[in-house]
Amino acid sequence: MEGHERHEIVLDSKPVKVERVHVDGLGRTKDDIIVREVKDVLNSTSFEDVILRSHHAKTRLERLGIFKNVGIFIDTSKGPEADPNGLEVTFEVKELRPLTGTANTMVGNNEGSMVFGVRMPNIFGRAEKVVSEYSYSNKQRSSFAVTFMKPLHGNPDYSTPGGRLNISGWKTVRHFPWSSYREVDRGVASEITFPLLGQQTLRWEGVWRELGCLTRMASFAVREQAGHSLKSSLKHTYVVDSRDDPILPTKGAMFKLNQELAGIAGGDVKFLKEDVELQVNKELVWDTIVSCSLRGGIMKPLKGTSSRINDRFFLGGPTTLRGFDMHGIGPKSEGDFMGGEGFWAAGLHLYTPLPFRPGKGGFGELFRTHMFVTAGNLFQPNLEDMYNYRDHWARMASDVRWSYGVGVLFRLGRIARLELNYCIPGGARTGDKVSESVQLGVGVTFL
Amino acid sequence: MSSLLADAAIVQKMASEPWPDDVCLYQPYKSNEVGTADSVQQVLLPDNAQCLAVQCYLQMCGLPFRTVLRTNAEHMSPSGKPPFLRAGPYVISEVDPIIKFVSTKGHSLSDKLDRPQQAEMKAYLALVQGTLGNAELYISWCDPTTASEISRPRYSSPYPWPLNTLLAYRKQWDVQNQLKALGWYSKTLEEVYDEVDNCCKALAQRLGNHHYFFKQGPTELDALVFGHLYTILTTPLTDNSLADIVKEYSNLINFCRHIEKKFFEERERGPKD
Amino acid sequence: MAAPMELWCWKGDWGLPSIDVDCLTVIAYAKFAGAPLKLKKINNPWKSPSGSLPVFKNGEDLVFTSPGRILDYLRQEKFNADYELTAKQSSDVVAFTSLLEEKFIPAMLHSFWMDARNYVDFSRPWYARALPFPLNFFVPGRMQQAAEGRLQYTRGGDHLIDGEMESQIYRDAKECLNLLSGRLGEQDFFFGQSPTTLDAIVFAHIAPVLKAPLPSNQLQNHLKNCNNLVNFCARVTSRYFPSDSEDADHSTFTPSTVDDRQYSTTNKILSAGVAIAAMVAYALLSGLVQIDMSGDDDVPAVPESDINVENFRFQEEEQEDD
Repeated sequence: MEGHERHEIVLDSKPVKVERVHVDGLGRTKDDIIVREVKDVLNSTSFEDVILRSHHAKTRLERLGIFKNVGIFIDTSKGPEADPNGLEVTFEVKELRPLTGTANTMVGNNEGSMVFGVRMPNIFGRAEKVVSEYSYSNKQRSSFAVTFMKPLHGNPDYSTPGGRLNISGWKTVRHFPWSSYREVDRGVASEITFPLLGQQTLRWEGVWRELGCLTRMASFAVREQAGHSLKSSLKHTYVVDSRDDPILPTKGAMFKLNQELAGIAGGDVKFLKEDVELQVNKELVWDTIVSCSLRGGIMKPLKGTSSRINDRFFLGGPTTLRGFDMHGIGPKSEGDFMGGEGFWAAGLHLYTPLPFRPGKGGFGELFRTHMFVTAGNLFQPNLEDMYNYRDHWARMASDVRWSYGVGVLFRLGRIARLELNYCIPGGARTGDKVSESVQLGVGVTFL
Repeated sequence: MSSLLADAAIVQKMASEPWPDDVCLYQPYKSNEVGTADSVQQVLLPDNAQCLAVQCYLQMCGLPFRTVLRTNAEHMSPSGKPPFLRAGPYVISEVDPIIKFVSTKGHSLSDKLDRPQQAEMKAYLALVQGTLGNAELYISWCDPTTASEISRPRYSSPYPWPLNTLLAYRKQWDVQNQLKALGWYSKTLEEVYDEVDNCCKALAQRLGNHHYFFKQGPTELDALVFGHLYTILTTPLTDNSLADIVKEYSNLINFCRHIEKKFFEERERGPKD
Repeated sequence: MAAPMELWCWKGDWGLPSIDVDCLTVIAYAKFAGAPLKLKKINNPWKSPSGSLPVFKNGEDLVFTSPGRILDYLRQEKFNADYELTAKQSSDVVAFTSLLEEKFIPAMLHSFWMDARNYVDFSRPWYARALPFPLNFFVPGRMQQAAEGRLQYTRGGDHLIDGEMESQIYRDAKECLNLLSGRLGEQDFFFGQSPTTLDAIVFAHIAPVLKAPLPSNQLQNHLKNCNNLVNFCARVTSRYFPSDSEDADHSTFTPSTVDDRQYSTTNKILSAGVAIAAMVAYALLSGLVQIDMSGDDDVPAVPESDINVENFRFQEEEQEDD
């Protein structure tokens, strides 16, 4: 296939047979998952086919996430019984170390944190991995989590929709200054993700939640919520995402449905929670994109219980309803936001590249400007009277908060974006925390 | 909402406001409370003594209040210990701060004492809280039989499995650490009973055959002693050793009976008449 | 009595026979009751079966470590300073002992161990000097931890804001001193002309606070204003411990000069020890790394996309509550 003298070989016509496939450099990886990934190479019929199939196998091996690098060597068969048209394909792989440490910084919804991690890729030789993370953030949030992930048969991929099983355990400490409480969670969860008309996730989690007042000045309504609760819930998430990019999409739509039933098989927290999210992006002329998002959720406490503050919905903040403070709207008690059992929020954005397109095709592509209008409301649905749509509508439509403004976006890696907006809020009610004029937001999901 | 009332400005502000109408005393569930989840038998010897002492003190002051039972009273309390008082915007927990708070509202039972008597009263208060309080904690959580048969089951009763076991052991661990820090954990059960006996002896000798510890009338010392002794006498434990110690002192028993009759039974009958 | 009664205790300073509250209680009571007690100032809590001083020994078999038990034993042996007390007065002794325990001890622990300046400039050097060689490195630290634990468990809590525990503790202690001062009045001793158990206990608690040259001592300043308590201490010292107060001038503790010198030697030993330990540890660790990971020293190649997915999902979980 290589030669300094000119030989013309018509590759695709030459019939070949792959007699052997070698995989060099395997250590603790079990043979069966490797065989599954590379056996397709044996079906090659022509030389071109060999190259294509080998390349495909290489991609599949890399996707397992257990090798540092994968190389391909193709050679003619050797030995006394070699077929004249026989080929041998050798994959040279280098396994990841059994234990690696990481330290990185992470941005979330208006907070930055340090994350220290230990990962054990390929721990049992079948592309399972154990990831353990400790993070500490500037908002006095700390968390520790251990997750065991196992790819399910035929779907080794972690990064795109595919089947996998996760089992995790964690402890988090979080502070919620807008509601004057802090929460310590300790939980275990197991979740299975599989593709079916999109991506489906079924998750069971058992969480011991310990709630305490953040300060002595916490309202009595929050104080009443202090103490321990145990939530055992089944969650279902369904995502269809055809967007080209989750952070700065230019086309496509995303639909996400979250539903959670708490109180199954134990625990003293009982509710049903539904929440949907829809986003549609459409490109107009001159790289201008219009994006429309809609979110809504509702929960119903079950079996005579009442909802707890840490299960309710909150709204407001630079990543959702702009122009208001983080979780800064809705029912309040003595200065603490209590959240609601229902919410809706909508946003309309017009994204354009930076004016005069500096750094076009390069650095400039990390930036966008946008004009936006957002609106939303927290409400208390009356689910006793389920079919009284007029009442539901009235509750949703009363006291709607909205805001509009302009801003600049900056993409932070592939997972987050930073927004600097000038917002003008409207429809605020007494007690709402308005964040007028310039608002900075960092986050991974945006309305 | 300071539980400490350290701030002079707050104290002054509170003093200017009269005793509110809607004062509530929050405490854990007892065994035989009416009207609510009857399976919950939550409160333990040490907490019950404190709750009863506060109730008794407020009754002695003649201040209206309502008792509210909450399974999470311990966690709602600003200091993590029941009972606590909610009076208007103020939330005050534990006996001492509550007594201080009540006195800022112009109600005090110890004003009538002279200075040496006040000193004595403070000393006996320290004796009762330090000895009986720690002894109750010791017996509830450090005596293996009482801990496994009474304290852990009762403490865990409001919670679902497996949280109940976890929280009960966590509480036991906390209390044991507290007693270790105070040097009580290394005592034997006999030594603890001796301490209780010494304390009761001192109280009995101080009380004599009077109705109250001071001739001027009831004080917070009477309320606190009643809270502890009445709880010790009426709380069923794995054996009666603790109650038997108190029963040795007949004047203390009479004291408890008298207080119960005067401030609980009569008050209960009062509104109905 | 075959063997003399023996008391192992902390050594004295500033004109006191011992600087420790419990030791001083027993010593003072023994003096008041006229019990012949042989003091052995061993300054080594590790020789005690309970891990703390004092230790009372009468012969080989009788060993007590709690001051209450020691006093009970002395009373049993007819060394009783409380003959003249009525039943009610005996009860008052018990009650006032509790008052000191509950209200005064926390402030004392705080000023000796928790006040950073006092600990660094006074308590730590004092105990480091008193203790025998290897113990002086960690026993002061452990004593501080014990004091901190006790204060945290009894007086601390999440609900307190900075400095609140401290102010509460000192307020209680000052109130306690005022009450004692009021109780003592103009008498020589708490129950008249002769000292009793209560006098021993009060003396043992307030004398160290009064005499110790703590760099910052709000408790001492308050105590100095209670004239009758100061006189009471002076009376007890001059009547019962005249020899110790004579030594006082010679053995006054001067933290800076004496200890700088001592510290420079101990520091040298300590730093050399730490340096050697660190070097050995480093050699061992780096050796281990080479053995385990030989030929594989590259930075672990974690796929970039993988991290992102993790973080993305991680954040998403939070988002649900919005």
